[in-house]
Amino acid sequence: MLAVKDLTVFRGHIRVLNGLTFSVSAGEIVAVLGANGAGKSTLVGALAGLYPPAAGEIVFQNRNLTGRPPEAVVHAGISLVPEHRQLFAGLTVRDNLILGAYHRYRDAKKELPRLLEDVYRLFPALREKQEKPAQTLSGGLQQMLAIGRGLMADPRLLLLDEPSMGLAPLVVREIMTTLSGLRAKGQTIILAEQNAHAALKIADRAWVLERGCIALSDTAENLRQDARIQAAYLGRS
Amino acid sequence: MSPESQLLQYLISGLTLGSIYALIAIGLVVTFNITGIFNLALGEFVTLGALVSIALYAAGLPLIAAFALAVLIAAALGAVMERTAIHPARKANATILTLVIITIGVGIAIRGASLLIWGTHPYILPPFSEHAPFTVAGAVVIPQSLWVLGLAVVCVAALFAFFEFTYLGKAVRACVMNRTAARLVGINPQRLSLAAFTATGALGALAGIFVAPITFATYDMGFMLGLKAFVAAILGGVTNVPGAIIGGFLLGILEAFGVGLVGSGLKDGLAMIVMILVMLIRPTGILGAFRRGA
Repeated sequence: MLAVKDLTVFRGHIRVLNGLTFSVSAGEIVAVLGANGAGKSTLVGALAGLYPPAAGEIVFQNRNLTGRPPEAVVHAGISLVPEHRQLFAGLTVRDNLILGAYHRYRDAKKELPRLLEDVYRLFPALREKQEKPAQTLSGGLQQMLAIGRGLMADPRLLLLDEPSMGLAPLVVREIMTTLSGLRAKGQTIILAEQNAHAALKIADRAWVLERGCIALSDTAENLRQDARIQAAYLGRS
Repeated sequence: MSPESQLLQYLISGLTLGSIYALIAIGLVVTFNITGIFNLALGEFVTLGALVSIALYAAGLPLIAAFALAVLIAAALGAVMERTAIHPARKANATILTLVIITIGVGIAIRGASLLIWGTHPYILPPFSEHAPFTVAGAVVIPQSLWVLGLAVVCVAALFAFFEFTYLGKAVRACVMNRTAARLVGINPQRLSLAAFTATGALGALAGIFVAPITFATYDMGFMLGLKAFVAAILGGVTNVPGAIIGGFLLGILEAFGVGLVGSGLKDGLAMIVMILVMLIRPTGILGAFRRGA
């Protein structure tokens, strides 16, 4: 579904991603693990079109998306739930959600109520708050709203950047369960996550980024058992 | 005329002037919120609205048709300006300062072209209604003032409805609040930039058409109006549309009272004094926060 070759990305003068090559198949959850500054955010950001690559190629469903801006990438079926949620703070929950469908608004206008209903069924707490400004929500609800907005784009591939950041363990578990449920319905997901423990629980495969390179790539099952991962990311010795 | 009527007279002329400042200031603020730059050529679109509609009227078009065509021409010119001057510079990674200087350059070019076409001669646009001036509590009201106030009210209401109730209006606000997130859902800021320059070009022209019967129209009428609208925008807090409206009316009223109570020499200086004071004392404007997203 997604094939990336030799992806190299600079942020300013710093080479953050260093010739990454990988592919993702339909229906799987791939976790991207790594320490702060390893390049997780840059990787999902680059896939979403935020950071044009200096070299390499991004091919998604046989379409070359290399160097395409985010507004074109979302149209092609890749939707990013960005780091720090990046909500439209002053707009209501409902408006945030319907704007998620912006790129296909003309076609989806009639379906909007049904699409909203799907998101509310996934996150029932959002329904009660739908007329409230996004900025008044708790951190957990804001994250759910960000995911809901990303889903409103009807993505073939959903990218998430640190959805667990700053959230209580219970909320993290709830969000991970939801992602797992999405996968069960066939949603393909790339999950960049600092919280390796939570991510490896739901992922099929994972990559460990180190200084802009894929240092390890294996099934989630194997990585959970891997002594290096346990030491570095799972806090066990 | 009693002192009270005299003061009422100043207030009426202040509200009239203020409406025009407010309208142009709204155009400045909306463009700034969407694109991050001030379109300092906007005043020249006021001139164009007035002079083009006078020329078209003189060429035999009915007044309404002349107005509509002048507004369309100004809107088209706004679009051309964005595509030929702003968009390419942005692609070449021009800084905000460069972009603002480009708008000043475009303004000088439009003013120069207007000078060549129309000369320094003042032109007259007939008032919209034949009705004679009437008095309210001793103060004289010319009907054209009501037209100007009416335009301001209608434009503000229309803008409010657009931003508050339409999908596209919400998308524009979303882009102002969070540009990155807006792009991630598919909102194209470049297209909004084009729309902003086009729409505010039309808005400026409308302001020019409505004010022309009061002030006469000259090739440089928009320069001062644009500058004062800029002061009004700063007074209102730069990113804040309600602030720009209040700033426009405050400045208009201040000017009218300054001229009436002190002397007409104060007219243009007052706005500059206000700008300096705001910058020194409260650079965030009367309505507060100097941040994007309000």
